[in-house]
Amino acid sequence: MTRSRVGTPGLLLRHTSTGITGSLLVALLVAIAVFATTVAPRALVTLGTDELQHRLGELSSLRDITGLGRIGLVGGLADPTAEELLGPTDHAIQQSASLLRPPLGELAGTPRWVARTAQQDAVLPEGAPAARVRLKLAVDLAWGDGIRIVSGDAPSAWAGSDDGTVDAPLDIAISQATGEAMGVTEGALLRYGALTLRVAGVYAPTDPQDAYWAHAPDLAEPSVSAPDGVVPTVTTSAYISPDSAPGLLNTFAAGALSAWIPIDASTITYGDAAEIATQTRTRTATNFTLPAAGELRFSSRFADAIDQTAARVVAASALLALALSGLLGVLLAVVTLGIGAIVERRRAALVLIGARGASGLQLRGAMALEGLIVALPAAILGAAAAVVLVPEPVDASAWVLPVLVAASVPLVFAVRAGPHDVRARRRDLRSRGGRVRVIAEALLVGAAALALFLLSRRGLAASASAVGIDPLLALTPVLLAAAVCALALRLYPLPLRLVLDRVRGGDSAVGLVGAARAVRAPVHGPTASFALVLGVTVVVFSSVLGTTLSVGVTRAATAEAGADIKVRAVEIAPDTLATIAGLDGVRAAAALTRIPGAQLDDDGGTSGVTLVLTDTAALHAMHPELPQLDARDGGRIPVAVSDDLPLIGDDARLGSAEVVVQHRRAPRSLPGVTRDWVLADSRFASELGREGIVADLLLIAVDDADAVDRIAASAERTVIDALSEQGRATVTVTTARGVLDDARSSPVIAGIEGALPIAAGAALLLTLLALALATLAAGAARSHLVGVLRVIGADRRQQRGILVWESAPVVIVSILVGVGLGLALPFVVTSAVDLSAFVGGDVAPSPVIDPLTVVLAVCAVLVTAVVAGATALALGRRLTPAVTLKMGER
Amino acid sequence: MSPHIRCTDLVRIFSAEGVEVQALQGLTLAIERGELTAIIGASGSGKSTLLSILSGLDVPTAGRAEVAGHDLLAMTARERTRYRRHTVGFVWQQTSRNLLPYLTAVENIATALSVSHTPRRTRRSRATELLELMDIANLADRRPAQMSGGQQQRVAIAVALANSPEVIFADEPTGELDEHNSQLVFDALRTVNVELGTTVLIVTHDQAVSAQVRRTLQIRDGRMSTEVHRSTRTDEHGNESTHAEEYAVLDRVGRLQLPEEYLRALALRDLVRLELEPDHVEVHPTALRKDTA
Ligand SMILES: Nc1ncnc2c1ncn2[C@@H]1O[C@H](COP(=O)(O)OP(=O)(O)OP(=O)(O)O)[C@@H](O)[C@H]1O
Ligand SMILES: [Mg+2]
Repeated sequence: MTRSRVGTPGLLLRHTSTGITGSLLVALLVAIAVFATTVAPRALVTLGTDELQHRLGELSSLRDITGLGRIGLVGGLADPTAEELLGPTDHAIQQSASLLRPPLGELAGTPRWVARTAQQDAVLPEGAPAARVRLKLAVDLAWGDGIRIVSGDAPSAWAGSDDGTVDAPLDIAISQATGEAMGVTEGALLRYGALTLRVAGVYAPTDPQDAYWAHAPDLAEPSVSAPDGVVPTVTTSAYISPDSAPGLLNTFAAGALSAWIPIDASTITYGDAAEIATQTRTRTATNFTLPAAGELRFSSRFADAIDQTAARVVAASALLALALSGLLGVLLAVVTLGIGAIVERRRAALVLIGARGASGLQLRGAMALEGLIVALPAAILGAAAAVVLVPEPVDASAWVLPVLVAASVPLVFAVRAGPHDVRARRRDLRSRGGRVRVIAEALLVGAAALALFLLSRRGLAASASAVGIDPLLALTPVLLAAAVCALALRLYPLPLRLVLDRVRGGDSAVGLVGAARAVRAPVHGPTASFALVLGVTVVVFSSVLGTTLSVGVTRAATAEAGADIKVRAVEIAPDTLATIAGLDGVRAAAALTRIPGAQLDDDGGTSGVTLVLTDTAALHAMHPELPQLDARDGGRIPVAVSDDLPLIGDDARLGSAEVVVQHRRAPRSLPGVTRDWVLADSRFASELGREGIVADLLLIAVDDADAVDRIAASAERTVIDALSEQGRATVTVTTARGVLDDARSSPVIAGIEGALPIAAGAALLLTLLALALATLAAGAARSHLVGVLRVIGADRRQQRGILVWESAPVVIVSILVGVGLGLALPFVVTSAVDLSAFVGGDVAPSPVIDPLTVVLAVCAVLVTAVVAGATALALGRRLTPAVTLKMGER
Repeated sequence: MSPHIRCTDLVRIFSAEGVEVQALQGLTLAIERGELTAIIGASGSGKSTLLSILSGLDVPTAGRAEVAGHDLLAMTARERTRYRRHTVGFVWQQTSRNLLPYLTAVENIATALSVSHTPRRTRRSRATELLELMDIANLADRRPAQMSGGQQQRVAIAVALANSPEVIFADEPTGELDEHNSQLVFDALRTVNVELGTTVLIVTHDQAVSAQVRRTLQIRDGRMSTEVHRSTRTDEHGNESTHAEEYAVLDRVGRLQLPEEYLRALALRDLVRLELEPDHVEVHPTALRKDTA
């Protein structure tokens, strides 16, 4: 026997510890909700950091802060050394990096700089192959660090001067590739204006991948242009010894200085990104003054890349907010249901203690305290788990939501403890149309409309710098669901009443009892319906959005590639095309000839267009939205035009040829041409006066997606084989798959695509829980009903029928409303928000509904409902009428 | 001094969705301080409705009701709470409804004391005192499930007494009990009435109970109809006998309800003939003639 307690805290504990399972369930849900709301902003920041590092990693040397300008060389020094002459400039450039403050300063590496002379022709010695050499001399104090001399020696200091004695040859070092292109080795003498250059040594970069060579490519390899029948031109640069610079003051004064501050993006965090972008902009906004009237103008793609990434991350977090807030709504609804169940358990005690003189404050206070006891440890655990799992620093605002979630629990406890009525409540006699309810519903609908309006005016993202759960976005779907749910609950008794009136006259007891119960004593309260509607909404919304995004990304990638395989080359000859079209597995191949500067005339005027010639039958096979234009139309040449051209009459002239515009609903862009184009079949090339212009773009469609890589390789070989040596370097091959893989490698896209199915699954799970809780909560009433039914002799089938009536109408209505809302929400989102920034490409993706996914989602909810119902029925059957009827007494 | 409980023309109408039930239709009643009174009446006559109004759990639609100087229609929420806490106590018919099943007898009493902010140190002694008064001190640390129905009801009375109310209402407190236990519970209520001077109002169907009460009120259709006063007389041989006198309530406009048995015995119906005598009124049956109708 336990010793009785008489202290108030002890008594409260006694009350709280009864029926602990319900409290544990609520505690678990609170822990999950707090965990989710704590972890979400942190995960987003992590995702942002990943995305940032991914994007900046792709940029490689382009992210570095690069400066262009001129070097200041102090004149008038008597016999200056290289150090005296170049030291001040070097020092100033080093300062440009070391003065950068964190966080940018922490990413900045040691700056490098190269001063170059202006470009001049160098005359090759006798016996070298004929070539025109355009050469710059370069000086770099640290030039020896990244190279090794492969033959000869490092250049030695020059004793001459460019405004005096120029007799002695000036030593230079050239890269191996330059030597090969010019056909010279060490010891060769070149004439360079008034100077004579001597190739003292030939070097090779120790690490050709080093960022240095990306900034000074001319010092690693020459660029060679070799049109047919013309002497090739070699453009390159050569190092001189820094010690030779004092003699070349004039030459370098006419040249250019380039410097760069390497940026190491691997440690950048999303939290610092905005600050870093600002710092970068500040650095590049003003010229950087160097000693002796030198100066540098810095620029960087860094800041823009950060902004683009930020825009993408913000869009992603907005999308996640949409999906997750719905989820959170369901979670909170389920928590509320759980709390409702706990409070309902305490109801008898509350009523009794209330009747004995406890004030409303005492009762609510006691329940709030119980809520606190349940929620506080759970919330702390959930938050701690989140912080440990994703230890990302976030600002204080990230704590608002978790704290609100945790604080709402005691509040809901207190609210649900509500005013009591000692007398048994007869729900059927309570009027449904309370004024409070009408006002609440009006407010809800108003708030939903307002949120929708604000969202459509503002767009998806509040500001480019804010990451985290945006309250407006988080609220909109929940408010919409709540408003629609309230309306549905208002309307749904109407058809049921009709049914009730119908069955009243008939002799179907099942229908009568079922319909009467559904109308007068609904088992599932508004919270359960809300959870159900929102749950189904989230399931459907997530799956539609997931399909939309993945289709959008795929479409954008395909549009960017233009076809399964796209090959660019200086020339794609008809033979090459024929060979490739004949390759095994190629469905269609078309070579595009693009002729800019064509003119399309009609009565309205003249438009400058790009004329695109191709085999339109093959193109049509790849892009069915483009017409086949190979048959004359009334003697005229059929053409298609892009949809951004001003309305053009059917009959027009292209140059001197009469054409007829065939297809009005053409897309905006063609592969390789984004706007203002006219498409015609290449068979009419001569009539259009464009014969013999070579195609430079090849599109290939394949039969089997798995064969893309093999076919791409063969096509590339075929194209290359047909080209001259120089032309080969121009060949690039892109596959849609490759572009897609690139897009998918973005952490944000991968994150969203991964998160949406999880959201859908979690929503499904919560819907199940909501249904189970609601069904269990109705247990007492149901057992009583089953008891009565059995006493009056209803058979099992009739019992089941009545129980089906209990949840079927609500579940069916909730599913219908939820599916409707879930399907509508993506349209709202895509109309309010341009997702193209997110998926890439320039066509905003519209919602794609995959019927299979939706049907699967609905089936899952239905199965859940049936399982919950069957369980309830089984539980009800276990109780004998005697027990259940006695229970009903209370 | 005014009566301890006074109701005048009390009306309670339950209404919703077109259905209207008049549970009380102008009930008038007066009970003196320290009285032990029983209320009887057919099912649905409004007994429970009356009790829930008097114990401050329900509000009448019209009329006046006063208990221990509190006007039940004019109370604020705060006054109502204080009223429930300190002025009245109650016991319901369902034994399970009076006590919290997961608390022991002492804890149930302590909960009521905690509600009224009674200092903690006095709670245990107060609980023991009450249980001793109910003669069930040995049940202090048992939960309701470990007690008999009669024991539970006596604990319920102890809980009702916790905050020393002036009035105890009991709605069919013996309804679920056998004869022996009923007697024990009734005795407990009588003890409360006698020893503490608490006014006790019992609703009951139990003849054995009402037969032991000095004053029994009968409700019919939400109105007081008759009442019976019992008195014990001792004759010259020392034998005690109980005398019951039947009274009927005359309302303000002079309406009167005659007991069913009287009506049946003399076939009184439709029109009766009245005769005023010097100290009483006679009621005679009439043979109704066609032409006078
Ligand atoms: N909450 C309520 N809502 C609607 N009608 C009610 C409510 N409570 C009682 N009634 C009605 O008021 C009338 C009186 O009920 P009450 O419970 O007072 O009767 P009673 O005399 O206690 O009956 P019993 O002896 O069966 O307990 C009944 O017709 C009942 O249907
Ligand atoms: Mg009753």
